[in-house]
Amino acid sequence: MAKPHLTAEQTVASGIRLLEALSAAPGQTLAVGGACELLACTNAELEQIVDTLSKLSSRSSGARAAITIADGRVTLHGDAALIMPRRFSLEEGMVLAHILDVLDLDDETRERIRAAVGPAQGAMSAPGIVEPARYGSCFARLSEAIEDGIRCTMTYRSLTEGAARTRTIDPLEIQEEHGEVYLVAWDIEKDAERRYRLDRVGEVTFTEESVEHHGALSHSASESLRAQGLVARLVLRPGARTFLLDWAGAADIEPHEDGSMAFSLYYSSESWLFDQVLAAAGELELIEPAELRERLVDYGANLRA
Amino acid sequence: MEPDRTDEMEEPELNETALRILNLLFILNSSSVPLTTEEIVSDSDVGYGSPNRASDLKKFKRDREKLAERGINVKEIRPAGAAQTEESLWTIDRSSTYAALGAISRDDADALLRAVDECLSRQDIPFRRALVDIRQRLAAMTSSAEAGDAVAGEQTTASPAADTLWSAFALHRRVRIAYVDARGLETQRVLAIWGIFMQHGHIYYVGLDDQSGQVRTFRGDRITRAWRPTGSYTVPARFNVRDYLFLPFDIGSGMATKVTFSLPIEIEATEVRALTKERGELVRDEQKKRWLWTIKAGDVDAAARFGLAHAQSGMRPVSPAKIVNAWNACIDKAVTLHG
Repeated sequence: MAKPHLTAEQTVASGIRLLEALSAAPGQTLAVGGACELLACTNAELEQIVDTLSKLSSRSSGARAAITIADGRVTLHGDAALIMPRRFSLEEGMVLAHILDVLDLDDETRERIRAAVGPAQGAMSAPGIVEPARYGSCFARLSEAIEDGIRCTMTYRSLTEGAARTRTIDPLEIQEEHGEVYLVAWDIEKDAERRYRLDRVGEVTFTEESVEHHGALSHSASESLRAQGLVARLVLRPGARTFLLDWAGAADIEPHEDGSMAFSLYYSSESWLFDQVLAAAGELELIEPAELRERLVDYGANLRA
Repeated sequence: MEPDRTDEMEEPELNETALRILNLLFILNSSSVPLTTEEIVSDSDVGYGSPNRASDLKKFKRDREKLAERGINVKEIRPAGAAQTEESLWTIDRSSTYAALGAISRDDADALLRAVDECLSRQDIPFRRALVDIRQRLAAMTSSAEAGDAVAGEQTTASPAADTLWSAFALHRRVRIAYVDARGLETQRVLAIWGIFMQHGHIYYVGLDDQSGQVRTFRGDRITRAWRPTGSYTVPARFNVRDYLFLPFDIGSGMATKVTFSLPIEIEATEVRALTKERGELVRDEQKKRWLWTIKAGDVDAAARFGLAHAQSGMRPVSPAKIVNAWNACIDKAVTLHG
């Protein structure tokens, strides 16, 4: 076995983490595998850390740290080396601040968390880390409803609606696909599974009812689009931007000899489909159905600025 | 295991240092009363007690600083009215060191846990290691078996160098990287990471690059290796990494053009933020019941295509004439093809 070679800082950091974890664990004992996972170290490195900790002693009080590895478990004996959980460090506070920002947890919750466990010095802030907003403002409430099985009402504006409308839903899960975050839920009025983009959800209210079991569900954007049954056949011109084929509803891709590519596209909103064809500025041709082509021409004419 | 942040030391010295720092924590934590300076620096069991008292006092100071880096704050107590010559007492500052047990409610802990788990379910996060630590420490704070569960799913970081790059950023230390560009050319450079952003499933590191002397953006999965971070730096106050979130019309030849789009005022603010990436200037025009978004476009045609792709959200070009013309030209090309 390779001899472990931890630096002083690694030994100190891991030693404190191990004492903290053992203090919190039932019976002050952890499986060796769990301890290694916790410290991201090898068995040999864990032995080195335990060996160091077992040498801790206080001359004035006579106390000693008793920590052993036996029968696949690492165990802290007695009370002398118990330590309380530390507050989060500035680095951990920075990560926490970022995820609370991105998931848009409310200010009161955020402040309570900061006061209870945030770093003592400095604000809990995340300068220098960003990502596009996409979780909306209801992630915390919806994820709570999913975990607790609560039926909800929510306001939501779909692509085909000018204003938000209230829906009653059984929330099922939150999914991320193609850079967007969706709530997958059962729409009670439609009696069907629907996907809702989280940044379009306006307000969520818990009802007094629990969610019901709705049988086997589709679990991806492409399956959900196929289930709706709207499909068009398109051709991407040679040399066009092929990232268009990354759309969740793209299927049956057929390359042609001239470099063009025909494909089917399952879609949920006709206006979305038309917008993508128009935005492609002639690089993308809608082949069929023919009536959709006709409607595209009218739609485009009305969209001229 | 955390990335190595110290210079190499001989093993005996290394073990002595680690043991002494941990022992200082142990004696202060296990003592029911504050300890005097003398009790600490004369204790050979702890690792002080050498014939050179001045040296032991310096070690004691350094060790307190090392514990502070780990969030353990040792405070000095001088009783009121104590003479200058009277020695200090030392104890762990519990309020700044330890979490306020019971102060975090079950609901808040659950909300935090769900947020952590959501982020852990993603691949494009540069701070996975820190999140796993947070999750496990939440378990310690709440005695929650659920929080203490092993993290489900893929455990690998976004790139082999991700943990080292994260440490370099969090500690503001320069880091040497090996980077393979889009043409497959590998270079080595030293980077002071000023900011990190995640977009389209990738992690991007923005920072001062020693090779070009300019602020550059590096995609995480193209960084094949990162060496041990060394040397500190300061991020300029004017720097805002949000400016680097990219839009598909950022790059173009020639001067950028300021273009303005409108959006219906009924759109949720969260949707507007997602669409605009919070870049440019967003104004709420109450009179005309619309949002006005003004943004620099390096490629006006690409900006028109971007706007058209979001027309179903009510996005429309407003000014200058160049963007309106580009918008109409896109439509005309598509309509002609289908006419």
